[in-house]
Amino acid sequence: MLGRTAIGWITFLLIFLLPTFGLGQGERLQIRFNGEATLSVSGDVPEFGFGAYTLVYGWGVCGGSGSCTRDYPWSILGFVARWGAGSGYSFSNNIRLILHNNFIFDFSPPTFSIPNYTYSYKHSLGFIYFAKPLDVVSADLITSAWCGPYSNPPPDCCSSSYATLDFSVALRTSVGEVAIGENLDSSCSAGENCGVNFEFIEWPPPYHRGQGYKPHQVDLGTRQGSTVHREKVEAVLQLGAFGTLCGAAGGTVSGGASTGIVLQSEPHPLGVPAIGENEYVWESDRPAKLTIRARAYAYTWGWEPDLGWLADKTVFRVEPDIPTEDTKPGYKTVARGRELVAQSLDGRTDSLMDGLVYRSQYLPPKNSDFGKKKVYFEVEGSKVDYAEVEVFYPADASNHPRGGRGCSGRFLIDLNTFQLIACECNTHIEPENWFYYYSQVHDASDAWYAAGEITPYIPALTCHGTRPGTGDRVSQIYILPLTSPCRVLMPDLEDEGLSRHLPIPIFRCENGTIRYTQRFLYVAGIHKFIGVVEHEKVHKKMYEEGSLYPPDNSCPDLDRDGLCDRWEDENGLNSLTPRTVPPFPDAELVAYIIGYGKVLDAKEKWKEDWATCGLQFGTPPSPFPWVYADINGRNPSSRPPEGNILKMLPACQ
Amino acid sequence: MRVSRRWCSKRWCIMFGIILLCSGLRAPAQVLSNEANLDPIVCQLRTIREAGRLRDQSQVAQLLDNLIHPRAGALGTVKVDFGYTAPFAYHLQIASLVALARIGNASSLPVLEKLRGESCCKSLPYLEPTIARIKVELAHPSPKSQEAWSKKVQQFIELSGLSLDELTQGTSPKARACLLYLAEMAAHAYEQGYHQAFKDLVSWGIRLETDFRANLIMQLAYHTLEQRVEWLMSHLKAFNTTTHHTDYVIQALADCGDAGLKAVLRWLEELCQTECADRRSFEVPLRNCLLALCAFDKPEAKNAVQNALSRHSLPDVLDVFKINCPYVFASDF
Repeated sequence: MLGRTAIGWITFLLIFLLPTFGLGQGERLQIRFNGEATLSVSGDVPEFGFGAYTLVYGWGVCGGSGSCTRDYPWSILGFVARWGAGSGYSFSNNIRLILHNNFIFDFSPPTFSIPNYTYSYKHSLGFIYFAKPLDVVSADLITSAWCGPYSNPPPDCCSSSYATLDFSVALRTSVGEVAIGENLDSSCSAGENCGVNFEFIEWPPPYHRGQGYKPHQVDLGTRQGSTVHREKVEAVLQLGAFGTLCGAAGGTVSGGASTGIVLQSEPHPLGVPAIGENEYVWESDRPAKLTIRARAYAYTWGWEPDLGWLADKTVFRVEPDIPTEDTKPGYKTVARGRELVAQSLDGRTDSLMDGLVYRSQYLPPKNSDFGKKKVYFEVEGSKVDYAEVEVFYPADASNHPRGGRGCSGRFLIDLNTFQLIACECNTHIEPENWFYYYSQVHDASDAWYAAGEITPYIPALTCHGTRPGTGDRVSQIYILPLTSPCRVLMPDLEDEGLSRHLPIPIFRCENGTIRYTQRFLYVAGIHKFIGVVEHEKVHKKMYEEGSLYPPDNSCPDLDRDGLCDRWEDENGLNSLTPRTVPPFPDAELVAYIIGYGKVLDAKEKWKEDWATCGLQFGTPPSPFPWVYADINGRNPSSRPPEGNILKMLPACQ
Repeated sequence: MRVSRRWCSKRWCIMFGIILLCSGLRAPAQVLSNEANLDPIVCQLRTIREAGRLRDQSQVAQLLDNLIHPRAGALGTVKVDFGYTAPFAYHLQIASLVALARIGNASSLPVLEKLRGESCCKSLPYLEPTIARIKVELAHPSPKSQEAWSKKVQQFIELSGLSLDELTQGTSPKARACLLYLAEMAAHAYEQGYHQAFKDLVSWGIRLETDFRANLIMQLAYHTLEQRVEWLMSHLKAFNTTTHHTDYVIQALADCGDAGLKAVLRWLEELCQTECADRRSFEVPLRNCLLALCAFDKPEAKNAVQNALSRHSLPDVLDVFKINCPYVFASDF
């Protein structure tokens, strides 16, 4: 066993190990290593060498004495020394070998930049520095004393003999230290007749094995550049031996330290969810499932690590917690090559699955269950590092918890008259996820999701009628699938980046009249939803108040635009024409103006948009969060048109 | 939207006459500014309508493309008013179908029939009536007898997939599309010498008067061009407000060409002689008159509107005037 250990290090030194260099974690972070070895020696000359995968350097590297420094591009150190003395000679030497290890982190901060969008990013990096194995061992420790007639007189008798062997070997790192040392001797006496006597002892070789790790943090700063983490491995050997004329002693010591660093690799610890990195999406099926691959990677140079010892101590977990019904995310961590891999327990089969796996019959119930999270990499309860991630729901699926407001039926407008043909909510269906969760963020309690037979092009409609019995005027808003953040509303738009957006025409007050600015606000994601809902709410409110399609005789509508003339006069519209601002019909003009104001008020709601295709998914749209442009999406700008832009009514009064 | 006293005085009319003679010399910057990015969109509608009106066979491919890929920019979803309220993409599609129906080219049939299954077009209420019309026009181009006319009408109704009940009620979009096409086919038959065409429709229970456009076509069919203009002008002058019906009358007037333009310009002159008692009695006729001029593709129409707008603030008319082509007021007519 002992011999195998000693031989092991020696063999390790002699057998090749291809050097491995830092595998980069993408463009954001590259990891490099360089090092140097300083050897200081004095005294007698042993058989000595050190290196990584072979004895690269020997005693003579420094010319036999003194000290010198050499490049040393490996994070592993092995050394071996053999020495001995006898026949009246003594041996004494000191060796000090220091490895300076430089772990270099080349950081490239994110450069993504668009108007009106600011984001912060994590620039600290946590990692583990470890040494495993960290060993010093010995072999062939022998002291020998022989007494009796001396074969090559004078003297003709070795009447007494002795031999001593003393040594100490220490190997120090910042994460652990191992050392061995012994004072050994043998002696004998021949007596008066010079009888033969001897003492030959092969001593049990001491050894010391250790290991250690320590978490570290480095601040990479906010500029492109390199940050160095320095470590030191120091080996100190004192070797001595003496033997009288018929005595001898000698031995072999070796040792080594294999060091490296372990970094979280998935999710990337420097990933920036704000610009589309480290994003995770729940699956669209039922049961709903979310998998976050969580891993750490060991960087070593000159050797291949076995991380089994570290896996048992490592945990990956997420904060804030993500609801799950039948899995235990991060139940175990296993070592696989250079990786530590998080695994989860499948509660149904008692088997392990790679990644942090969350699974429930439905998606989490609350919009706030999605969004910003941190995936921690912990070792023995200490947080080594974390990655910022964002968790999204699949917008167009319908695997949210049951109980959403949705129905299937016929929702048809006669586009020739804009009167209803059919507003039939026949069968309850669950709305798509975007409707379910957006409704939690922006009040849409008036609205239902509707699918089925639908009038083309329109993202929503409001059905008007009277309540049976009471005769009250009631409206019901139906939000149609085109409102989805993922669906294309304007396939022919020249700027394809805006094809999913909702355009809202913008009007200004000019010389006392409402004028079309020739500009649109293009909104996406949750703003698209809000724009549609608020537009329809205007129709609903006006109908229920009696100003839209006024009841017979209550208010004239001579221009037959659906609006009570008195209401038009009071609110700055022209009651003598159905198009105060051609080509926009008056009833729509009102809804566009008020809807625009409501969308502006809800600007910050983008922070709660966790839908795929939503405003926080992927790379943010530019400019953020919306764009002003003309009818074909040309001349984009982050600024609204100039002048007295109308956001409410009455206007221009 | 207040009418200034100055506008109401006869002095303005004198000024108008002078300006008309020197048109273009002193138009205010506001009128000349042309920032209307609606131009390409509205002018596209104009091109489509003209292709149908002139039965331009060379435009069939383009019309089919417009139908399948209506390019309306942001107005593809924004609701706008061209005879009725709809997203502009829908206006373009309906206008394209109406034009294709009027052209009646057999080569369009396979494409149209294929569109029955396409998401772009399958729900368009004008699709089946358009296919039906092209087929019956090809089969019976000029019916000259009741039998031939009856066969054409029956086939048309049958191919449209519409029940007679639905057609006689005339309220569904598809029924109104059929009424429009029946009126146009009857007008053509009448023009070709079968003068019973409209009466037959009435006797078969088809009430064209339930649809304003169909009724308009029927009324005009009986008249000569001069009579049409006179009839349309009398209706235009009778509106005491601007409505969607005004749009169709204006469009019909524009189709009368120079005779229509002459009548509208004459009305503008008459208006200049009118003392305005109140806003409605003056602003509405002026608006309708100027809007009508905006539908003509003639420089004198443009000049007259420009000069009028330099004297009076009608922002809605100004918006229509700024479009760089004759305005189209109704996509389905």
